[in-house]
Amino acid sequence: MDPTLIIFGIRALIRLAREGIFAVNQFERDRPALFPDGVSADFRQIDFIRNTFLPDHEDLLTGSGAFAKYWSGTAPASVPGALEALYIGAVKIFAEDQARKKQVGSRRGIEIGGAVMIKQWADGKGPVGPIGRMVLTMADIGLEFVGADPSLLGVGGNGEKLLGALATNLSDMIPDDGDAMGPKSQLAERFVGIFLRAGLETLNDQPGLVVREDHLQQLVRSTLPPIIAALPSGLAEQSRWRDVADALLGPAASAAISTVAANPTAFLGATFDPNRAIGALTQAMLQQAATTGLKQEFTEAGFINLYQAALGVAAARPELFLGRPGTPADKLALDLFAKVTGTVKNAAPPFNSDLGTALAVDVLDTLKQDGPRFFEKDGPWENVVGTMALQVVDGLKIGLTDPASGGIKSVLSPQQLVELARTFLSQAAKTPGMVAGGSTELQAIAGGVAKAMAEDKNLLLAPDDWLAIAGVAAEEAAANPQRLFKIDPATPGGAIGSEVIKDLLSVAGAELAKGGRKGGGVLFGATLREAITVALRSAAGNAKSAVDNQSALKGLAGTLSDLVRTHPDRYGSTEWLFLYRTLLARVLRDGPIGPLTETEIRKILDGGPVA
Amino acid sequence: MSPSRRALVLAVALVTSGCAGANLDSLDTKLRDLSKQNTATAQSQLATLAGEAQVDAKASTEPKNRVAFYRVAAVAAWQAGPAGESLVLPITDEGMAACEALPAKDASAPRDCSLIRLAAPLATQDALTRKLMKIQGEVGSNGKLPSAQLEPLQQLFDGLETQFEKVSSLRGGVFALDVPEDFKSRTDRERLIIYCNGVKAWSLYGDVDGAPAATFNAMAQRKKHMTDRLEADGVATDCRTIPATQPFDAT
Repeated sequence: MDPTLIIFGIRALIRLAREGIFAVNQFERDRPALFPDGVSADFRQIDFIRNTFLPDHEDLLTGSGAFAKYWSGTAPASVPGALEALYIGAVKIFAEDQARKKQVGSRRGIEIGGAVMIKQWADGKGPVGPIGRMVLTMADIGLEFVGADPSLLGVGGNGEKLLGALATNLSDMIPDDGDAMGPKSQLAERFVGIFLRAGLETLNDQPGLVVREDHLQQLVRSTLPPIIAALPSGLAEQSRWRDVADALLGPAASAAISTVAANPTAFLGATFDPNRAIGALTQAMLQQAATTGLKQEFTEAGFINLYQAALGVAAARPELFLGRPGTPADKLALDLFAKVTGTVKNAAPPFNSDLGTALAVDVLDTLKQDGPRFFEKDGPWENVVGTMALQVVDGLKIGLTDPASGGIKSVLSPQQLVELARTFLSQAAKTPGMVAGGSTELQAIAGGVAKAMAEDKNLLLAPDDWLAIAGVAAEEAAANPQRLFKIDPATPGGAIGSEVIKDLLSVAGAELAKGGRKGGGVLFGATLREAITVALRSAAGNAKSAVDNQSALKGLAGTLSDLVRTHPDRYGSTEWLFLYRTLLARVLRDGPIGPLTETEIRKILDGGPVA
Repeated sequence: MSPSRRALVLAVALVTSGCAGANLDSLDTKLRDLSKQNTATAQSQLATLAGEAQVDAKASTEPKNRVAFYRVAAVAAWQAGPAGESLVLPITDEGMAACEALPAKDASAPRDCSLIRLAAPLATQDALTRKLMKIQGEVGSNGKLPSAQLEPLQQLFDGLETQFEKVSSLRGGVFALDVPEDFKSRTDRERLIIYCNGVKAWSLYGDVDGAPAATFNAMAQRKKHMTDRLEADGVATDCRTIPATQPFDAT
């Protein structure tokens, strides 16, 4: 990405934060403020009399004036009833004066009494309201991008379409506390800015994207208003919601816009609104992240990967998000995230983290690719995503936790562990019925392989070898149900697949004890992997024979190992494998083979019939 | 930018400049609550509040926030009564300078700047009126005051007349700003209160034993000038509509 854009992005973000702070400060400054009354002395009748008569009607108080007998110098005369007479006269004169001056009744200045609260600005004269603030924020961020890439916001440009989509929905994004600069209002301004910034970055990074403004409008409408409205009431919850949205909304917006642009047909002429699914998924992802937190096992990347995978399903299989009776799309999306994170959180380490989420992502990717054929029809597929991942994890648990060997964690890196799990998942996804109806077949297969892997205490096989073996085991077990890895381990010979692998590892271990490579042994690495592969494929179709002749099979491997090791000048890994593959069928059919003669070996290697 | 870096930038931005709004709200709330209490304790607390708001104003880096804090400080000092008298002028001087520094001067924060400018004359009128009320309490049963009150009452009248002129002069500026209509009404009401207190001072002068008629009548002419100014602005000069301020609640 262009470094200039990164810098402008940061500046835009800082601007956004600053604008939010300015808006809060402005709101606090402009709130109604106290304008108290001044102190007033008691205004008596005599004060009213003097004020009315003097100086304009002084003539009435002096000489032959009508009230002269009641007045003396500067005060009422000492005449009984003087004050009352003067007051009545003053009231009459005051009323007449007011009428003459056309100041009848209350006028300015006497309409309000006591302390009052007064706003900063006259109506319509103050700074901009919530919508205006959002527009200013959008304009500021837009301007930053124009400086970096003028074409982005040019006429008909994708950036312009995004701005148009946001502008069209502004009124829907103003919460009911907008005029009071409440928390939802602040959140709305913040989210619009984050969404716009992420969107512009996405559109700039992918100039070839063809987006339609009406699609973006639907996307904005179904995404932002619900998450603004979902702001919890408690301060702590609000803070958590905001932190999560700050971290996730940008990447989510980017993913959503890319999905809409990359799947135009999904958004054209649909009989339902796929954007609704995107909105529901966005809200569900944020809610789950707010519940789970982003600081421990699950990171932003884990949530975003899961969200992207779910978006992919929504775009490719929108019918899955139609909802069911009693389960609307919103609840379905919530359940999806809740079940996946809940399941993964309780999974065995290290899958109780983003690694576990990665498995759920694989399930969703498979769902997107192959459809819901591996789920029960009309069932709650959203619940099965996590369950399916958990079956693999639970199956692998025994191999992960074996105290003697240190577990397969010592063999496989975290990424290889995920690859191993994916091997089983992809096979299960191709195999209807493996996980449906509460079947734990998938778990049994993963468990069988993991159990065997844990026996590789001498690290005779490399990670890639194990991944290949797992692929064969899964494939054969899927194709031959109830044979290699029976679900009930109590059943005699229930997991012959595991036993066959363990026996070969045991033989290889014994060979190692006798000198291994230096002693001329060949049963390790690619040879051992191939031997296990051959054994698994053979046992899958002859499970009963394999169980009955388990000891003989092990004996065959031991015999061949001894033969090759003691005749390094004549036999190598190719001969070991050829003999094993050939004689395996005989053991499965007839049981233990006796000692092999030189002639017999040569005959087999020359392609002759096996006795 | 990584989410954590982004969160850091936002946090720093919030910490460095996001607290002003919350603190202003807190001070405003205290001001409102204390102003309702008619006690000496509350006035002492208002004086403290004025000092706190003044400190916040000086510390504020945002010009409009600084003015808002000075508005709180000025009103609190005014409402603190005797406890705040020494604070009013320094605060309002600083506040007016802060208003002058705004991009559009008072028009950038019309209510706050107007209140800061009005606070000094209004606080002064309050101080004068408190003295006036004290003299009023000395009126004898015969309705007369001792001649020793002639000079003080004349000074009080002079002082109130001066405050009336000051507020009347400010009125033009206030009315030219985009303040709410009730702020304008309030400004005229304050003028009426000062006027009525002036009338009261003049009237009490007439109650003094041996009050010289010539002086009394000269004061009446000056009082009429105030009446005319009010009426010219459409303000009815009926002082009976202004309730007397109650003395402190003894409890």
